[in-house]
Amino acid sequence: MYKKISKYLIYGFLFLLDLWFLYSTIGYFILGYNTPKIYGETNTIFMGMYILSITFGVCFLALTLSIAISLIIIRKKRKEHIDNKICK
Amino acid sequence: MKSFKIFFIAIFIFVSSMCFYACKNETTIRKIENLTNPVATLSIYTYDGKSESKFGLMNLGHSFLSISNTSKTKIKIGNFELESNESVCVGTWSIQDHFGVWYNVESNYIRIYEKYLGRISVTKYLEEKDIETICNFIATHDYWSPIYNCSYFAINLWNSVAKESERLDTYLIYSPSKLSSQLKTFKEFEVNKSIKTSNDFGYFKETMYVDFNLEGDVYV
Repeated sequence: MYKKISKYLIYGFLFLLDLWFLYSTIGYFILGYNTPKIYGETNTIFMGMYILSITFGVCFLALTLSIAISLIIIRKKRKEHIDNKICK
Repeated sequence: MKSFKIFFIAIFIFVSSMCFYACKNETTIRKIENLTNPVATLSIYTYDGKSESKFGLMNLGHSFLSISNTSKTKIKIGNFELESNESVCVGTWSIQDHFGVWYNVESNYIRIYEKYLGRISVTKYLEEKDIETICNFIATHDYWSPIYNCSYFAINLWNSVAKESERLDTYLIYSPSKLSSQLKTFKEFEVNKSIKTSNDFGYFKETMYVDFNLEGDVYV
């Protein structure tokens, strides 16, 4: 019972964190796009917000992959466990 | 049961360390020393980003410096020639064209967009030998990265010419909000100090000044 609750809590927390990473990735990208442009011989841009967006984007991808892989492994183990029970 | 306990212990440690960090006070009291023959003034500014954070997206703020020539002769800041009674802003930026030292970006940004509201600053006096130290520092620190960021540049340039009582703490990871709490330990700190503006901002490509204008600037 406790194991199940802790599993739900951990996955819930990681899922919310992942959503926040996605929100920040998109949010900082929009802020970067709205930052004033710079004009000169060659036009250029402030990169600060884009760097933050890329950082959060990388965190989002890494966490999404980790959650997906761990869920696949857990499912596989559970399936093996059920198969073993049926065989017995 | 075991992982359930570990999870709550981890949350407890995280929350208590956050509380400890929030309750920690800056206790050092710093003061600016007077000089007999100052040729310029150096101001360090920091903006913690609070007034520009919105929709839960934190603005990390910015730190920079300005130098005012109070002497009757020209002085050189980096490759920038500063006339008598003129000021120049110096800061490092991650701008696509050049990741490094830029001149007058902040003064233009404040003039056009009225940004950095709530910026904290402290001003100190400079001797002639300090100008040379600043030039050497700029020449060897013309770069930007998330670790060697604007606060790293501002704090270390300030420290390179600071007296013992004016020195600022250095960190592993520098941030404008940490600098803000340090500057408030000076008796002489100011809020929203105005900065003289120059119409063009830019950087030095070797010895050539490449100048730019901001979108929305009426002088363009």
